[in-house]
This record gives sequence, structure tokens and C-alpha cells, in this order.
Amino acid sequence: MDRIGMLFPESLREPWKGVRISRDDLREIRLRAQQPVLLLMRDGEWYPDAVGGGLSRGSGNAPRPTKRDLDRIVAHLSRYSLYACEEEMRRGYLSAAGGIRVGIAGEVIPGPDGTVRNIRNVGSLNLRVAHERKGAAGRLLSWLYEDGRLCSTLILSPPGCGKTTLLRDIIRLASDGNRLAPGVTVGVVDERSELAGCFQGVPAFDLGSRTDVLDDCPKAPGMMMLLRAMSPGAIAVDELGGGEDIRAVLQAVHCGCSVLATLHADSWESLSRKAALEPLRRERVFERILLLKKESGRFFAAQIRNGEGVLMEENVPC
Amino acid sequence: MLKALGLCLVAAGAAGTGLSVCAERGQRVLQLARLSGLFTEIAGEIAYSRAGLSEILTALGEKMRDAGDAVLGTALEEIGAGLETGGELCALWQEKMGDYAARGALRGRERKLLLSFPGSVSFPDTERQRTAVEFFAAELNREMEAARAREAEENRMTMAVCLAGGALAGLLLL
Repeated sequence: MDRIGMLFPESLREPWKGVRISRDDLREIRLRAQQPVLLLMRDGEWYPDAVGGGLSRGSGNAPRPTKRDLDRIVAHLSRYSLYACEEEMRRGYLSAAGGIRVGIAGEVIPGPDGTVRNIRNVGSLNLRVAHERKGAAGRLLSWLYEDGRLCSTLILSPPGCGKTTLLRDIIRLASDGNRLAPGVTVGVVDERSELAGCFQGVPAFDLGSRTDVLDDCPKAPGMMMLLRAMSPGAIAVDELGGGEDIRAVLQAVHCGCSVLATLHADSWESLSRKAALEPLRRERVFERILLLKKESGRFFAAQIRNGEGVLMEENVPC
Repeated sequence: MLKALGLCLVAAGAAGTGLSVCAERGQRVLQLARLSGLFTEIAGEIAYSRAGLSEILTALGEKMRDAGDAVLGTALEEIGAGLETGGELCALWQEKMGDYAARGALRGRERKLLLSFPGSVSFPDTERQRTAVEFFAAELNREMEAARAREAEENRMTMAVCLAGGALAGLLLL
């Protein structure tokens, strides 16, 4: 718990001293002004017990941060350098050390053109703990390679089902080499510092020995930068977005790169309904599409399809 | 012969006291110039690289140490390292820079200004943060310019008073 306690300023660490949590079990810490602190663990919701120590299913003894406490936590997590997190804050989060992403909600300061300039009066924080599960992609590998070549792969799932964790392990295995193919150079465009968990340029997670990370970089220009400068065999991005991202993916594939990407979608059908992806579907850019599901705290590939949409395998555990 | 020797010693002591006071004054000007330069560099790094404060302070600490100010350099590096390990800026700054200020020749208002820095690092945008840090650089620079302008005059006065005092003491001892 010491590392979790470090997320808070010294003056707010007291309630966490008796709490022992394994990082592997912890998913999120939810902090809301005047509300009990809530921990989302592998086995459900728990509250830290500030009186007896440990965890409790009841919220009675859970600390209730004030709005000022939340401000101090934000200042602390930004290492007293909020200006350095301006872009991230604009997008609603902060990156903290150790691959922890802090979602922020509060009063939005609008920009002149209807965009978000910043967030003030922070009312809620979601400290999301990223996980590294080495070997998560091991059983899927044989579907991801064809004649020793890494197929461009799209990973679909609803939020919280392990897309990023799986992508991280595929990157590592592709980069280090595996039983099906030797390692290739993998370029990662980590727009939200989630994949590599970089803090001040140093990745917190093992992405393999042939991996180059562009941290905190928008996906489309990042992919172009990697193509021009780093000669990647594969490019990985998390959470594909709009038209610019799609065009960059097409360009990468036309340059002979494999693309590994994730996307929010809860079914094969919902993927088909996303109009922005039409160019990718038309050109059959993704040769493998994995749909992840989660049951009883474990995630698995519910469907593995090829580029034509033909089902290749079902229910492969990760 | 002994009286002449005694007179010389009294005169030398008076001159030495005067020089020491002048040197301390010079030290203060130097310290203010260094601190003003430090805040200018912090502001520049904020505007240019948008690096975090811990990173900036650690780098500048190393630079200060290389420039010969080991006390300030070490204080900055310790603050940077403390921030990296989850320390609070206010407590770290008060402790480390408080020690540094106490060792030097800064006066009350200058110390207060220096120690108030952590209260000025909460701006969420680069431009306002840079302006806030530049305020410290400008204020310390103003103090330095004023101290430097007064320095020559005060040094002359100090030496005159010390030497006159020494001559008077010598005459009385004769």
C-alpha cells in the first residue's frame, strides 16, 4: 500500500497507513468531495477503514475528502506543476508515476471555440491503476501471426475488459520475439500515457526491448513521426478515434507496417455500425479482430475473427 | 616601539572589520543576483520545455553546483528529489531553502519573498505560471539592483567609520 499512499500528499496519508492492498487486486480509487473513498478491487467495491485499518464493505469509517483535499491531491499528483499537465487536464486526466491515470471531473472552463480550456473546482478523481499481465497474450499468439508475420490486429471491448493490458502484452511479445517469430521494432504512440505508463519519459511497463515510445503524443501525427524516423515493423495505438487516426492507420499499413490498435465496442455488430471505420473495413486493414469479454474478474477473447469477419475461434482465455 | 605596534594592530583590526562588513554586503548582492537568475531560469524552462518543477529544480541544482554554489545546488537537488518521492513542495521548500537563506546574507524581506515561492505554483496554464515565477526574478533583481546601488556608498561609509574608530581607539590607547 505504500506506493498507493504515495499518491496522496503526506498530510493525507494517515488513513491509508493500516490499509494493505495488493496492486494486482486494485483497479480504481474513487475520490469524491464529501463522499467516502471507494476502492474498486478485483472482487468488487471496498472502503478503506480509517479507524480499524484494512478494508470494509461498509462506508462508515471511510475517509471523506474535502474539496480542498482533492485540490491538494491534484497539485501533488502533478508534482506541483499543473502547467505541465495543461494538455492532459484539458482532456480530463492526469498521468501520475507508476502507470496511474487520474480521471478528473469538476467545473469545466470553456475555451473560446467551445472546446475545454481546463477543469477547476475538482469534485471527483478516479485514480485508475494500470496493470501489467505478462503472458496475457500468450494463448492468442498463434492467431495473431500468419507465416511468421504479425497481423494487423484490432482489439475490441467495452471499457474495463483488458484491452490495454492485452495490447501491452502483444507489444512486448512482438518486440522481444516469441515462439512464432523473431522480435520486430514496435513503435508505440501513447497518447494518454496508459500503454507504457511513461513518467518523465521512462516507461513503467515492460513493452519489450525493441519498442520505441512516443509519449503523450496525438495518434495521427505520432504514427507519421514513427514511420518517418524509427522504421517500425509494427505500430501500436490505444483507442482509435476519428478520421485523422484512420487515415494514419491506412498510411502505416500501406507502408508495410502491422498496426495493433484497440477500440471501444461491445460487439462485432457495434463495430460494423461505426461509420468512421468504413475505410478500414473496405481495405480490410485489420487482419485479426479480437472481441474481449470479462467474466468473474477474468477477461478472455470471446471472438477472434479474420479480416473478412469470419469467426476463427471463440472463448480463448487471456 | 610597542605602542606603534599596538597602534598598527588596532588600525588593522578596524580595517579588517570594515572589510568584513563590506564583503558580507557584496555576498548579499551576489546571492540576490544568483537567486534572481535562478527564478529567471525556472520561468524559462516552464515556458520552453513545460518540464515539471522537480525536473527543473534537479537540473538547476546540478548547474548551480557546477557554478560553485554547492549550498544552493544541493538544496535544489534535494527539493527535486523530495518531490519525486512524494514530498510536499511547501514543506520541502521551507526546510531546504530556509536553511540556505539562513546561511546567507539575505535580509528579512528577501528571505520572506524567497520562502513564499511555493504559494505561486498552482497555475494551470504555462503562461500564467511563467509570469508568476518571473515576478520572483524581477523582485529579487530589484532588491539586488538597489543593494548594488547602495553598496559603494555604504562600503565607503563603513570603511570611513571603521578606520576613524580605529584611529580614535589608537589615540585613546596611546
